[in-house]
Amino acid sequence: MPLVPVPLRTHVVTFRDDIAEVARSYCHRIAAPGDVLAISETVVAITQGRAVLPEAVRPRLWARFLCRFPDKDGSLATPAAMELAFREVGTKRIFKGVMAAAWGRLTGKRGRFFEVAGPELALFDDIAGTMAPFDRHIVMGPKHPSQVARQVREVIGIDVCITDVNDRGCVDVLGLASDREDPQAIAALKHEIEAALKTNPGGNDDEQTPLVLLKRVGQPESPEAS
Amino acid sequence: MQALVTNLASRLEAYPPFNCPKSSVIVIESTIRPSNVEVHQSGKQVVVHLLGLGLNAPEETILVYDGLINYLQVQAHPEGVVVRINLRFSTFYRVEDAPGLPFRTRIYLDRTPLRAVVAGQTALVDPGHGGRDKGVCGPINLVEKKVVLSIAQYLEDHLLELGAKPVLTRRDDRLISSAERTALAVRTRPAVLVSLHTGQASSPRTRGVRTLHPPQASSRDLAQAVHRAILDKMKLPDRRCAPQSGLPWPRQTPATHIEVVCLTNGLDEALLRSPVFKSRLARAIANGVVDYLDQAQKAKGGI
Repeated sequence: MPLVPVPLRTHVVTFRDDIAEVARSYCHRIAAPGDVLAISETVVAITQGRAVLPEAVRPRLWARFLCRFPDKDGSLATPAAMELAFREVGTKRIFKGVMAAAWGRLTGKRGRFFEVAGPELALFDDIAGTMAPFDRHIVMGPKHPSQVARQVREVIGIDVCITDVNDRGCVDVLGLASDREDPQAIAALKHEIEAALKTNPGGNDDEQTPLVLLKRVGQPESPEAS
Repeated sequence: MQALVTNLASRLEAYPPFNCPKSSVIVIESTIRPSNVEVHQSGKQVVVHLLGLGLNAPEETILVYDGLINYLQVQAHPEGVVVRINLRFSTFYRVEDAPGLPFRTRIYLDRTPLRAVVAGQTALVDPGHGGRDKGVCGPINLVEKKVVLSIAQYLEDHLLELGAKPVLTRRDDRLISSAERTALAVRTRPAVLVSLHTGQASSPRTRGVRTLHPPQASSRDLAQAVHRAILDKMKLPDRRCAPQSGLPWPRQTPATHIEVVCLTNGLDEALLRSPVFKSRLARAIANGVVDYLDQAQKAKGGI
């Protein structure tokens, strides 16, 4: 029984919202046991207060210098975003990442900066990287995604994952809370989630669908999950 | 699972029955098929009643500004969900549905009235600067000559989709003199002339869009229409629309000089890194051009 994505339009979620309550209010009339709720990592970060206005950040000189090197439309391309990266992983890891990126450019390997400095930095949405009103913010990746997934699962009673999905077909499951215990079963569930989200049903533009309910089709209707 | 509307979205899609390259589409997703869909039109509003469904999405106004659809209003009623589609032009619609999960009700709206306004009209698009004349430099590393060329290319795509004949003063990074630009404007005799620039200010805090125009009434009307369209769609700070003497355009050509954002501001520079932002900005400018041409034709008694 495959998982079929149903994008759920929500209000504009802000740092005042509790992500578990947001999930409950938009899922409780639709979700059934066996379904999986996929939550966008950006909205989790926003509810954690990790959306920062660039004017609230005072970039150090190195941040002003290093932000000139990423692609012009990539993340960490503004001084404020690079400064937040320094604060997130520390100066040492940033400079190690810079050295790896420089070596990567010489040898034709891309993405070495994030591999060395920290994959969490790849989750940063720089200015204009997400929908209004947060397109004026830098949104850092979420903290403790597995823990958040577990908290939401306790409230809504179905499996929950925190995901980073883009229009190039890349699906990254950052955190997963499931009642499955067998590692093989969890790996299979992850694979199912990745397959269901490959077309990016939640969108990356201004769709306002940070929740995607993955319905398990072909099973009999059962009472609501919560 | 209850019978609920879960999502609404607007997009542009090819729809052969309307004989336009693209039609505006409102897609309404629900958990099951509505018991009935009633649609009626009253002037520039199309009202869709989806009977037998509740609303899982929030009640809200969704801004679209795709040239035809201005915005949607979504409301829950005891008998179902009501979606009001507010249009720029009165037009034909068709409703189709796509069974599945989610069930999709699609309302296709014909963009022919929009195309009727601009089809065949020449629009001269002038990306400012070029070559050794970089224009304004942003605090990080963007330069005006490159970002305005990119926006001009998006604008060309949007105008072509509407059936207009866009002409660009340059398509690559080369310097064109003011006299050459003016000569092109004289030779092509465009219905509108849109010159694209970015602003600069002594204060790095200054942000937003400013639109300048030659003093003639037609240029003022064009500039005001484009300025309003950018503010509606982009929600940028307003640096006003104002007359400016000394712009090098022929008197008889409705012309506007748009400073799309203030490139000396770090946030505005960062926004211009986004291809999505630039495409939306170009769409807003195209909407303003349509508004102006529509007003001008109505004033002449053409439509």
